[in-house]
Amino acid sequence: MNFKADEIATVIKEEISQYRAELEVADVGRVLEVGDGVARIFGLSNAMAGEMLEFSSGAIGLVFNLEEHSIGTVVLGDYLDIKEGDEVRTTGRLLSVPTGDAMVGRVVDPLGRPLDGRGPIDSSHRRPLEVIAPGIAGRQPVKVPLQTGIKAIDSMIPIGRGQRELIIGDRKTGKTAIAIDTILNQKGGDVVCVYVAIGQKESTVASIVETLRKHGALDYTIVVSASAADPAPLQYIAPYAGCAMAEHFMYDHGRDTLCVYDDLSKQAAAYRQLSLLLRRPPGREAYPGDVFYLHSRLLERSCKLAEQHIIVRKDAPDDVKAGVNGKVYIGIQDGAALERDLAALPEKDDHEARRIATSGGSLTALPVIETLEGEVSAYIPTNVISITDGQIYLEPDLFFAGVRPAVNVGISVSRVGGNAQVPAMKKIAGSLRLDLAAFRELEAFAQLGTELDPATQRQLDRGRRMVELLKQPQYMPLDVWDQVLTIHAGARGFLDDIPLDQVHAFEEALLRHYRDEFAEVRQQLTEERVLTDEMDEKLKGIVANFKETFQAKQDG
Amino acid sequence: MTPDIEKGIDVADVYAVALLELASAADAADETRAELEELARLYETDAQFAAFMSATAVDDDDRERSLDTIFHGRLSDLVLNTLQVMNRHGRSALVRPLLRAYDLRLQEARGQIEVFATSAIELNPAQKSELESVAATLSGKKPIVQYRVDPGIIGGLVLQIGDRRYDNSIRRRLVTAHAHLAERGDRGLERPGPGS
Repeated sequence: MNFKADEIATVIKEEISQYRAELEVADVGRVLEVGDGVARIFGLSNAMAGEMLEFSSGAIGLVFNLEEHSIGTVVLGDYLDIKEGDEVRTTGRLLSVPTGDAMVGRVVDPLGRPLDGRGPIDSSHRRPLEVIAPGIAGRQPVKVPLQTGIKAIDSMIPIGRGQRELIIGDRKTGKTAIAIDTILNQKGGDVVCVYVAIGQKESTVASIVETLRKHGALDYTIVVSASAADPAPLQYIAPYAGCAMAEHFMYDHGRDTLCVYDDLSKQAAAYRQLSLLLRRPPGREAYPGDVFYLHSRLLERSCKLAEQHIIVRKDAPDDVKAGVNGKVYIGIQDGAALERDLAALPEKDDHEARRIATSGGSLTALPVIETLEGEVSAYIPTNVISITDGQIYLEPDLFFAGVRPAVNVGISVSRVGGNAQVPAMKKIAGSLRLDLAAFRELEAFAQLGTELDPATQRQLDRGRRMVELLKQPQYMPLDVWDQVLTIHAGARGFLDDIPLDQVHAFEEALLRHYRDEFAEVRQQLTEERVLTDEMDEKLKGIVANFKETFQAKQDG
Repeated sequence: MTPDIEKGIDVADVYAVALLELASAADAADETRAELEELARLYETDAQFAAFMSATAVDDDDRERSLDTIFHGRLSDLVLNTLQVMNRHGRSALVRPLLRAYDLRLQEARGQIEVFATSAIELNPAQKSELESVAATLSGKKPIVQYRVDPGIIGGLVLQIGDRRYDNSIRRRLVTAHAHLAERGDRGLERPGPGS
């Protein structure tokens, strides 16, 4: 940037002349004791719970405990500069974070301060950290899929926009990998992603940021990081900060967003640390009594907002705000009224129903919880399982057996289910989970080494190949239509006589074949979104022909 | 007030409330306060006394006997009894917080409030009385004003009523202006100057 000296002088002159001295009114208190990220403050009898405070050192605090003569606060930032006797001021505001387009592509801390060394962030919007989630009337059922690009998930545990799906498993089972692949798969789409790293090693976060950058995902992602080196208060507020940043896009622009909280177990541990230091009574596993509320209020903010429609003239400009009859139709419940009113208009052919652009946004949450030794009935895991709309279980046994992603589809659930799948996928994956469950049972049986009847053998062969098909390398999310085509080939039995170690080669070659030779068939599927019987037969024909060539090549 | 006094106020308040009630019933609230003030001064000036009151190594029974010996006839029965009760509960070190808590409770009972006024130069009587009426309006109570002179604020006035501080000093205005300009500079200049 090239400044001219008089530019600077002029602007500053303007600033000074416009400066209006105001009387500063603030409540002040004094620090009684400080340490480990918490501070007790004397005075401030008018402080409110959750209010933001300013220490004389510049650090920010959050009111946590209100006691008769003192208040307990958490220090967001460097508490080492705060001394006993320091002055503290209330700000009269709730804690808020900067939000907006300026945050996209940046790596920030939970207070919105940049960590990536790419200069200050100039954002004009701020949102409060804690908001009350929309009520029942403001929401709408989840119907639109959020494609993760992972075959095992999109086929059997589909996630919808506005759903909360928990990723749960032991350490090193690939939980973060699933979240990152989901983010990578949003490339070219309209979903804004927020990745919140809580209590992780900074080297890990750095490599995740690099991965996102390499795949061009940073263009639509915000990374919020409160690493293990950051004080517990920052780890505590990090998920709320990420959620607030995503909510800007959901509420103010009607966009779909994705929030990954990696991971909430560490946030719960940080919250436990704060609560114990501020002498809140410990409950089970020494967690404070409101650790459920910690997670439930975060996850309730994920939703699919009800779309709002107005009746406008067909030639009305895009940014028209009010309908011709002044009414706003909210969600599906007002659908009938909308149609009736539209039909009742005298010039109904000149009018149409239009969605208000800022309505209908969504926030999908992918919280991550780490279990210890597969113990999913521990306190925090059971809490979060009861809050979310489904779980993806990752098991170390599967991981080390080579099944990656190590998803146990038998016990993984998506409570939104088929509503959040494209019809073609729903049809083709319909019985997949049951087939795999039956296969797992038979597999144990087969290890007995007894002679098996042809039907059982077929089931085993099919099952093994489907498991093989569902394996997927990291950082290679698959487009949903490619998924439909590969699973179709498997489900229709074309893989049953392909050797196991050639299944992936077959899959890759088949997809290439579709793209090169039958692009218009693939295009038709993409447009129709449904797998009609006619299309099914057509695809079967293509795969059969392809298979002959493939097998010939393998033999020769 | 210093942090070590403030830290003990939570507990001392319990005793202060009881003491004030009894003192008010006997119409001796101010005398009691004077005695507490003397005790607090003793605590501050006599290191041995302070150590004696706060040492955990001293047996409570021994301390009880010593307190009786030292203060019998020199302190009113009410205050001495209070000290003994505090000692029995292991709170003998809270002499100064007790005075502070008593003060606050007494002010509350009388509809008074502590006010601290800081100015760059000494205020004249007319200014002082105006300040007191402003403080009375703002707080809705009778102000007990303590005046301080601090040339560091350069000019203007800093008025603290209870927790609330009204800062109209020049020093604070300069600091705010400085921060404002620095923030603008940090963000970069957003619009070109007219002379460019």
